[in-house]
Amino acid sequence: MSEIILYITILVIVIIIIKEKKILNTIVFFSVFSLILAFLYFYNNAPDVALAEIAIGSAILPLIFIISISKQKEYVVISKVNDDFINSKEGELCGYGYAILKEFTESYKLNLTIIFDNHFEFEQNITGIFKKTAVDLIVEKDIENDVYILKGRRSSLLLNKLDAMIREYDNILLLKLLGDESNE
Amino acid sequence: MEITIVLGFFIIFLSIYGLCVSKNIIKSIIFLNILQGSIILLFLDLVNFKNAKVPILPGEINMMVDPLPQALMITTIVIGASVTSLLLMMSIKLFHHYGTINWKELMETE
Repeated sequence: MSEIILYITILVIVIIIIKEKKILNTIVFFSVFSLILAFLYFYNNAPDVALAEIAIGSAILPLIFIISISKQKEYVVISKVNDDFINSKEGELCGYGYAILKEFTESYKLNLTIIFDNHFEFEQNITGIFKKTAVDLIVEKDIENDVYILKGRRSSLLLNKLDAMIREYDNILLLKLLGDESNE
Repeated sequence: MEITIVLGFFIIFLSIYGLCVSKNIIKSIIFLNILQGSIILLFLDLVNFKNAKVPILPGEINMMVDPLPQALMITTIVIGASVTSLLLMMSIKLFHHYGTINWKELMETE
């Protein structure tokens, strides 16, 4: 009888996961699902499978899910300029370009990370699967025309939304480069 | 037919429905895990019988559950964890390349 109650609890949890919109709540419900499933394995005379399910299903897998979600929310920007567009004074970032990027990333719930690096090549470092950091945007300056250039991947939908945001500024230019396809 | 087997099949079909309906890639991966867990539950339920004992040796051998499916199911859990981590890594790369992990928006991009 208690077995059937646990089965019905699992059914209710799966229906809740189907209806749930927020992804973090879904992961917590998945952890509860695995825990009740381990009880059911124990009722079916398999205590070794239940032990493995408690360790892997309800502890390690939600941890991996949460780590991957926090990795997805990083928006990495490489900056080659260090003047009143973007600059860092004693560890604090400021400048009107930084304000634009901050507004853009906050509206899509991303975390902005800015790295100052003068020797960064787009084609060599942004392509390929096995790079350590996935770079999303590069900021450069054209000294002759006094124009700031932002470089990104053409395939990204976020870049099109950034393009609509910076259309009112005259001295900012957005370059959409081909990502992995440029080698072919 | 026992009612637990019917309920196990019902959970399997419900998770397949969730896999088809969900729009987020991470939610699809969660439903893949739920499908795997419910299939394991069905396997363990099929070899189980009434008044059965845990397969640990000092005891009556005729009353024990068959231990071979249980050993195979432990292997399945470990393989499922590794497949899940591989899928999550691919979803991170997909987000940085296309800027979204929604199935519908991904279908519209070239």
